Amino acid sequence: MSVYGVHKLLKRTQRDEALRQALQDDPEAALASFSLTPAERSALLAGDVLGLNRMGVHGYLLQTLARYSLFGLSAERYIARMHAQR
Amino acid sequence: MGGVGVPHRPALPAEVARTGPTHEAAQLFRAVEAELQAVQPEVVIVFTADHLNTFFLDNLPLLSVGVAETTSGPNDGTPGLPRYELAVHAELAQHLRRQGIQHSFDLAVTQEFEVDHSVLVPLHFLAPARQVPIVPIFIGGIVPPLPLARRCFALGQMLAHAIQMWPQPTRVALLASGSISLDIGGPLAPHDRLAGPADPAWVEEVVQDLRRAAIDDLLNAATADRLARAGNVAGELLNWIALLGALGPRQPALLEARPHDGDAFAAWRCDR
Repeated sequence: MSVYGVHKLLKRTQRDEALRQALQDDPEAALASFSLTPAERSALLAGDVLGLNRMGVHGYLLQTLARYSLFGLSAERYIARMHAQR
Repeated sequence: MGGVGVPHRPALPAEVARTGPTHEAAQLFRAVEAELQAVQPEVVIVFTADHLNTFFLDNLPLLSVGVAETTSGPNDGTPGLPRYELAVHAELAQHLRRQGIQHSFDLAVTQEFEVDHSVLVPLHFLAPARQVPIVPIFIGGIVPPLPLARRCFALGQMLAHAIQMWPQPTRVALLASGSISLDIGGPLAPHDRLAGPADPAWVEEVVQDLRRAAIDDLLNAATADRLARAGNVAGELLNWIALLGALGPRQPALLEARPHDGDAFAAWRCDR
């Protein structure tokens, strides 16, 4: 799995304020136009950053979700989930 | 010729602006700046790892040269940095790329590009490096699979040779940008932070090798696995390794390790 779609979404999120707002307002609808696998889509919507990291998503891009508090994540929640044992 | 190695953590400009000149990193940047000033460089070759800002995964070169008249940035919104417009030494950049290709380094090129904090944080703190044209050498140390340490070392050796072939005698400084152990937004970062050193012991080991100029030990140790365990951007060490290739085995004139921050500051003096 390349997780390219997730990386592309995260990069756009860094640079596109309207997309960030859309992801806040209605995450599911905002993701609709992105090419994502079902597993990637549900991991994003669940804010499952450890799962995304294990799929191969780079932390440098992934932390964008914490910076902009997307998918219910705060910095604290991002850190806790990233370090959860499972 | 002379060389320096420094980190480029993007929070540093804002931290130093808040804390003032007593900030530990600010003091170390000043020490490195004095070494750089002594070289009186006419051009600075910057080994850097773009963080998916200049390039992206739609088109990602492993090794590339910026060949343009100018560049600018930051293109990643680094807090605390002004907008910089920089001169690029296009002719030397083109010469280095041409020489590289002749010596079997298949160097990619970008002729229009902006740069991110990995170039501009060092230049922000090192005035002598931003007052002269630069040549950026981009080494893909962020997205695995990374180039091999020995390949990056050989790249540096080739570049030193190519600089000597440059017809105008030119005072050249080399700058390696990057941390030694750092994980950003991943599971190896310290448990109370989004980003931080994954492996302070690796910093100690690398710095010991630098201090002893034990290049072979460093090249043997810096495997892909070892770099991965040191954090998801620990491949920035490859910039330092390319610098070592260009400088040849010599002991640093300045070397300060900061394992608690995963980085180091260093400078080497050369006669030639």
